Amino acid sequence: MMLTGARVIRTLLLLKKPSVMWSLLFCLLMGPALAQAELTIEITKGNDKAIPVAVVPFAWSGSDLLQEEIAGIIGSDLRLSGQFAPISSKQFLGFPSKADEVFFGDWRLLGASYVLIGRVSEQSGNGYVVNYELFDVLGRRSVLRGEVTGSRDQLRAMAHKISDDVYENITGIPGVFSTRIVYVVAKRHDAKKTDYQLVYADMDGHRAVPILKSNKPILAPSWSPDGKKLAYVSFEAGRPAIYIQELASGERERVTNFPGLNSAPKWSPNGKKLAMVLSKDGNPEIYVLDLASRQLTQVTRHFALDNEPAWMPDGKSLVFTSNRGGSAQLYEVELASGETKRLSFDGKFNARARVFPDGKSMAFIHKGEGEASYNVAIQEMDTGRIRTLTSSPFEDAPDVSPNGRMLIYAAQGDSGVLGIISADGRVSFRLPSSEGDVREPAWSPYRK
Amino acid sequence: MIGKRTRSKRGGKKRESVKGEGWLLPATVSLLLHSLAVALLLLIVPTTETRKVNPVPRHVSAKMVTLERPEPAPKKPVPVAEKPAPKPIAKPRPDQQAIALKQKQAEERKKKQAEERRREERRKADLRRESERKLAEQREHERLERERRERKQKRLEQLQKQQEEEMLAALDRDAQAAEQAREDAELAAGYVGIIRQLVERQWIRPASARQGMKTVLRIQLLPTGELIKVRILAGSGNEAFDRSAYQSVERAAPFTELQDMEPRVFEENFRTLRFVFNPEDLLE
Repeated sequence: MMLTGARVIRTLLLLKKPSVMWSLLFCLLMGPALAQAELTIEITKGNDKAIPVAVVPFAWSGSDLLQEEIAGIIGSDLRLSGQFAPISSKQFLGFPSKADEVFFGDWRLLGASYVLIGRVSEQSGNGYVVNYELFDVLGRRSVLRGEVTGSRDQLRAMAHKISDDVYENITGIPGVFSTRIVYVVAKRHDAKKTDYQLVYADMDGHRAVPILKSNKPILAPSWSPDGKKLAYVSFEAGRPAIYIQELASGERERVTNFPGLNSAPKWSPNGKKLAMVLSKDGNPEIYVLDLASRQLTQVTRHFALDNEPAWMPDGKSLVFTSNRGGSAQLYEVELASGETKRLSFDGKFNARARVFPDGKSMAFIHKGEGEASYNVAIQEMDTGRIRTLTSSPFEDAPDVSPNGRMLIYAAQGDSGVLGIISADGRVSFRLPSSEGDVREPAWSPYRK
Repeated sequence: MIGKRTRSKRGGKKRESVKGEGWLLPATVSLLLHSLAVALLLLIVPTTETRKVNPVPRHVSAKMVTLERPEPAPKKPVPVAEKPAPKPIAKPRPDQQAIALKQKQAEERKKKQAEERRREERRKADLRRESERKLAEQREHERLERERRERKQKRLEQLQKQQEEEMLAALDRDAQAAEQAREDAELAAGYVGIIRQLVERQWIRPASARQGMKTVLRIQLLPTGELIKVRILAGSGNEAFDRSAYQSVERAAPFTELQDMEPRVFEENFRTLRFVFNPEDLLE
C-alpha cells in the first residue's frame, strides 16, 4: 500500500516466494476495502415498549369550567391502545399551550418522545374550537397541528378525534378512538325476571346509551360495514328471530323468522349479505341471505352442529365453528365451491372466530389441552401458530378493532365485564361497566 | 671477527688500569666498520633495486614515446634541411672530388643501407609495437567489457536485493498494519455490538412497521459518545417508521461506552456510523 502500483507489481514478480506474493496481493486488494467501508450497524429487533408521551392539559380561556378534561381523555385513549405510556402531569416542568412555550430539553428530561399541547376556546354560538399541536421531542420539531370543532356536548368526541390524529401520526395506522361498540347487558332481577339491553357506547365504554330494551334475550349484535345499522337476534316474539336496526332512526326490521334457530347474523364485508345459522330443516346449518333479493343460500350441509359464521375480508369464504370432528373446532368454507377445510387443531375447544381486517389472523375462544379456562387466542392463518392472550377463567366473544390492533371481549366473573386487550396481548383493561352481566361486544367499523 | 678481536684486546693485557681507553677505541673502530658495512650495503642494494624496477615502467615509457614522437619530428627536419645545403658548395676540388664522391657514394650507399636497415627495423618495431598496442587495446577493451558486465550484474543483484528488502519491509509493515487492523476490527465489532444493543433496546416500532421495511441513517458522534447529528439516508416510505428509527438512536445516545475506546479506533470507525433499521421479527 505504501508503494506505487506499477512498482509493486514489478516487485511482486521479482519475489520468489509465491505465498508471500499471494498474501501481499491479498493485502493490496483487501486493504482499501477494509479502510473505506463505513461501519454499518444492522438493527433488526426492537423492544416494542409503549411510547412515552406527555399530554399537557389544554389551556381553556372560558369563564366556566369545561365539562370534560380533553387532555385526560386523550391520555387514557392512548394508554388504552397499549402502544403509549402517557407521563403523569405531576412530573411536568411546565404547561405550555403554544409552540414557543415548548422547551424540548425539559420534555426529554422526562423521557417523553412526544409532547401534545392544545387550547380550547369558545366558538361563536354554542360550541368549542380545540387547537392542538404535536411535537417530536427527540427530533425537536412540530409534527402535527390541527383544529377540531364541535358543540358543547361533543367534547369527548373532539378529544377522541385528536387521539385518532395523534395515534395515526405516530404509529402510521388510523386510530380507533372515535369508533363505537355495542354490547348486551342482562340485568337479573329474580329467577323469573331478567331485563336485556342493547347498549351503544364509545369504544372506551363512556357515553353508553341503551338502544334496545327487552325482557327477552338479545344476542349477537353485528355491525353493518358502513356503521349505520346493526343486525341482532331477539327473542322478543317468543322465539329467536334476526332483526336489523338503523342506528340513527331506531327503525327495525325482522329479517328472518324461520322455525327453529335464527342466530349469529354476520354482515358481509360489502354490506349486501348476511350470514346466519338456521335450523329450519332440522339441523343447524350456515346460510347466506342476500339482503336485496332476500334469497337464501345454504352453505354447509353436515349432520354436526355448524355455528357462528365470520366473513373473510374478501367476502369469498366464511370461517365457522363445527363439532363435526368430535369437538368444537374452526373451519373455513369457500362459498363458491363449498370446499371446507379445518383451521384449528390445537386443543379441545376453538370457537367463535372473528377474522382480522387484513385476513392474516383470527381471534377466537380457545381451551387448551388439559386446561380449565376458556381464553381469547389469536391464530395466524398461514402458519396455524396460536397464542393465547388472556388468562381469566372464562372469556367469550372476542371482536377485533377496525385497525386490527385491539380486541374487545366479554370476561365472565361473578358478572360479565368488558375487557380490551392489545392484539399483542401485552396491555389489557377492563372497561367501566354498568350493573349487570355484559356480553357479546361488537366493535364498529371506522366512522366516516 | 672484528668483535672477537676487540674483545681479546680488551681482555688480553691490562684489564683494570686501562679500563677507559681500552673500551673507547675498539668501540669507535667497531662503529666505523659497522657504519661502513651498512653504507656499503646501502650503496649496493639500491642500485640493483633500481635496475629491477626499470622493466615495469618500460612498457609505460614505450607508450609515452609513441605518443611524444610526433612532436619532436616536425622540429628536426627544419635544421637538417638547412645544413646539407652549404656543404656541397664548400668543397669544389675535381680529383679528390671523384674519389671523395666515390667514397662519399659508398658511404652514402652504406648510409642508405644502414638507414634502410634502420628504417626496416623501425618499421618492424613499429609493426610490433602496433600489434602489441592492438593486443593491449583489445585486452584492455575485453577487461573493461568484463568489468562493465560484472558491474552491471552486481548492480542488478544489488537492485533486486534492495527491492526484495523493500518489499519485505513493506510486507512486514502491512502485516503489522493488518494485525493492528484485525485487532481494531475486533475491538470495533465489540463496540458495534454494544451500540446495537443500546439502540435495539430503545427502538419502539410503530404499529405500521412491517417486515421488509428499511430505513438507513447516518449519525455523527463525538469521542465522548455524544450524538452530533442524525440524518436519514434512505427512508422506508413510512414516516412513522423512519421517525421511530432516528428516535431510537436519539434515545440511546449518548453512547458513553465509546469513551473507553482508543482514540485511533474511534477516529477510524465511529466518527460516522450507518444504521440500517430492518426488522426481522415482524409480520410482513
